[in-house]
Amino acid sequence: MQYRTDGTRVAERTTRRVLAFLWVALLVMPASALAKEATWKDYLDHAYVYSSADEADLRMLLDRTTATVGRSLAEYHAETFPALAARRSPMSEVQLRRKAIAELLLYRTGEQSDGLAAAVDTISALEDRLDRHENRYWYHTIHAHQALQSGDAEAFVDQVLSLWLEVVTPLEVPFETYKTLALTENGNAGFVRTLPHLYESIARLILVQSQTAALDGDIDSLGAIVRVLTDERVGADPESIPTDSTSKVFLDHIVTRLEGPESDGGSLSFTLALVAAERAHQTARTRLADDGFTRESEAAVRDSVAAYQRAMRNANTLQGQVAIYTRALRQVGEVFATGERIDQAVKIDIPFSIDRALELYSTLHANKDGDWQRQGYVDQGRDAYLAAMRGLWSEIQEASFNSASYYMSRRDAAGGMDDESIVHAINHYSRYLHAFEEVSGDPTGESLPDSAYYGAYQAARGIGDGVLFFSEGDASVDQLEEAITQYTRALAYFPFDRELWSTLAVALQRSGRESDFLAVAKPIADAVVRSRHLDRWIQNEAAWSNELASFRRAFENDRSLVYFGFADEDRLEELEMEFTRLQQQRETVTEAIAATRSERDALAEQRREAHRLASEASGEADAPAPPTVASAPRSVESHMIARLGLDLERLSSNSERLDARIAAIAQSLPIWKATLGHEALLWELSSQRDHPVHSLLRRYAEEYAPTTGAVSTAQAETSDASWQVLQSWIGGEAR
Amino acid sequence: MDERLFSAGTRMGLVTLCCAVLAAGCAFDRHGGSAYFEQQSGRDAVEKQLAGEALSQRKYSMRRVRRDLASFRTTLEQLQRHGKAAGIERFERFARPYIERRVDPLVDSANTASHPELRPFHAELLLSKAVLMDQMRDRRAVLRTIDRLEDEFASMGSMLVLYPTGEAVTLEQSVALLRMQIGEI
Repeated sequence: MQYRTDGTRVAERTTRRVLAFLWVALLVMPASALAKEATWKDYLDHAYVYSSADEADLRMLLDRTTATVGRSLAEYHAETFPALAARRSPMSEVQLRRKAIAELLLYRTGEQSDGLAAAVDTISALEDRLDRHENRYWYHTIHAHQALQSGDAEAFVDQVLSLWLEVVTPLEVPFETYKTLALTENGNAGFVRTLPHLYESIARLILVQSQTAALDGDIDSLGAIVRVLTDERVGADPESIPTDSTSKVFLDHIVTRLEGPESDGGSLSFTLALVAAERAHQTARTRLADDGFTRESEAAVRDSVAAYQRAMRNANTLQGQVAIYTRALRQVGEVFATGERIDQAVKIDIPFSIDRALELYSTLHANKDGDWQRQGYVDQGRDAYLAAMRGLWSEIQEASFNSASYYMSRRDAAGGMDDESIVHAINHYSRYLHAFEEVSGDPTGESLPDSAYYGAYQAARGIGDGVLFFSEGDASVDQLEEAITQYTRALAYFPFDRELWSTLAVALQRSGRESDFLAVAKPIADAVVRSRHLDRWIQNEAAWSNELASFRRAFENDRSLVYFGFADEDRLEELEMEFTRLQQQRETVTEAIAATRSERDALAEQRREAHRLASEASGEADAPAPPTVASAPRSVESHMIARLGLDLERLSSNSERLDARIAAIAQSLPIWKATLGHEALLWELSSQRDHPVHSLLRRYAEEYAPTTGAVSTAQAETSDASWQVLQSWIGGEAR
Repeated sequence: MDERLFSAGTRMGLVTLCCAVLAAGCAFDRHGGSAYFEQQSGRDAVEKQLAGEALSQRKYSMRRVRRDLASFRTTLEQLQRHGKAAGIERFERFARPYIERRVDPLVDSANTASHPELRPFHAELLLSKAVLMDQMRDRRAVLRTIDRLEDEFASMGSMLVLYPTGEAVTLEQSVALLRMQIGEI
């Protein structure tokens, strides 16, 4: 499951392009400017081009420049400025400016840790020459870096706003004039022509360097500058900076996020922190996927968590917190999925809990028909609010099931299932199901994503499985009852899981109630047969309609329903052999009936003939009728005929029973067999939140599932009671 | 004696005449040049009239400043929704001088108010400024701008303009909207 945000991709792409541009610019710029051998003076005079590059890029660029010039910037600084300072006359304006820029660059590359303080001192000497825009630009830039170093968000905002007001604003009109006259590139336009670079540097200062410095404060006032930078400023002058090499795409992305549904009421501080956290999350995700749990991957997860916490500190509305939890819960799910995948214990603590996410969801749900605008979504509208609510639910669902699945996969040293892990798993499933049942009665259907209903099936089934595995599979009567209840509930939400039908039958068998199977199964099957939504789905030949139709056919028939419970699809051949055997047996019985009947008829004929002959021989036919006497004893033939008659009776009865069985099997087995081999549906529904069948399940559940209609007080109480019962015997932690 | 008198009278007359002529000469030279009339140079008017690239640049500037003001308004509105008093104060400290330096020179220029192509932008900039001022709770500044709009565009109430919140309305409607915004209606 790879998940990369647009912001992450945009930032990575921009960094690569900026680096490429800076290097070309650095090689070409001084040479074109002076057409003679380049020196550090030239590079420092054009530092506005590259000074805002990322630290690593800047270091690489200065290393390459060192190779070109023949000495490093640190050497140049150490050899040049102390000597100038030692002279009787003070350093000139340009010398002071170069010195301050050199110190800023040495600080930024890490070569001179006190470089920034030195740069501040140096540039302060130009305070009486701030009428010159170039001086003022470096003055505010250096002070902005000082504010970043000290984590002073307010000072940072002041410096950037001053930079805009005192440097950019006065340069914009002459720049437009020069540009109109094509003087920005070829004319002697001075510092005015640097304006596209200043835009880019200010954009990077706000978007990148504030985050690199982990500035943890309110810089929302700079939202105005970020917005105006996107307006034909950054990336608008490809002759100066190729658009691909500017921050334009990243800047546009930030402004889109600022105005979008995952903002925090338009807070720039929040948006930048969240985008930075997403980048850290992406790094952690890649590490977990590639390496599993290593020191590095765990550190990456911790970095990501810290970044989300920083975003959380900047979130002032429910909108912002929901945006963070939606992402942080995904990370929870990824960590547990990794633990399950590599069969290792999860030891990373992520302080973004599903419980807190459910509280946020409840608040969203409670306000959805009231003051939803006050939760931060005033500019994005109610649809965005509802979408955020459903998005949060989806992440709650996924994190819950990933965690539960991890716990169900844990084994103790002996390879057995650990009761404590099962309790954790059951608690995750139960919490989900309980929360689901509290909100699923919403008649508008706008509170939950469609996939939540399949989630209810998964949770109920998960509880049932956990209960059956509890105490090494030696479940008590109460536990078996709970498992049966949960399986029944699961089938009510999703009746198309054949395996679950037989699991239900096993649970019934274990509690001595196998004879109740039809009584339990029939209402669920009838709901499928009667469902108008399912009927329409099948009529419209929507997704998986043929397979769903085969289930519906099977549920119309009690006999095939019994197959769902008790037939073992792995022993299908045996079932078919048994069918063949019965057919053969019926043939044998038919033959035996015919033979017996024939034998009996022959004997009867023989007996009749014997009687006739005896009558003729005795002349009894001519004599007057004798008085009534007791009849003579029965002949051997008579006995035989009587016995054959009984045999025939028995054989006929057998034959009728066989006929009935054969007819039943001939009718039900193919119907049941038609439902086999559709397990892919379960896999698809588990892995695809937007699978079309989810919408059918939702409508189906609204027709028949246990929680249809608004949740009444009685229902809520029942739900609470069942939760308490469950908690009492699994000994789980209270919610 | 009579000759003396005549000559004395003649001299007086000449002096008076000279004085009158000189006075008239001074009057013609009153404005430092030699012209008597007020200068109303048609050439200057034509040359000062924005046209071509200059006109297109001015339009571009006015449009962009209008959009900038919209961005400022959005930011300020969001700061206010969050109740971030320090951020609001900090931003207003930036926005007020920005308006003085960047917006006012554009809307104070006679060229923009009188130029038929720039007139709608001029009105829109004034509206944008007023809406931002309203966002800054500066009611007096908004009222001043409304007065100015009504004064400068008295005969152009039906001119179509883009209100800062995005709707295309007539100038008259936009002034009404402004008045509603500050609670005057």
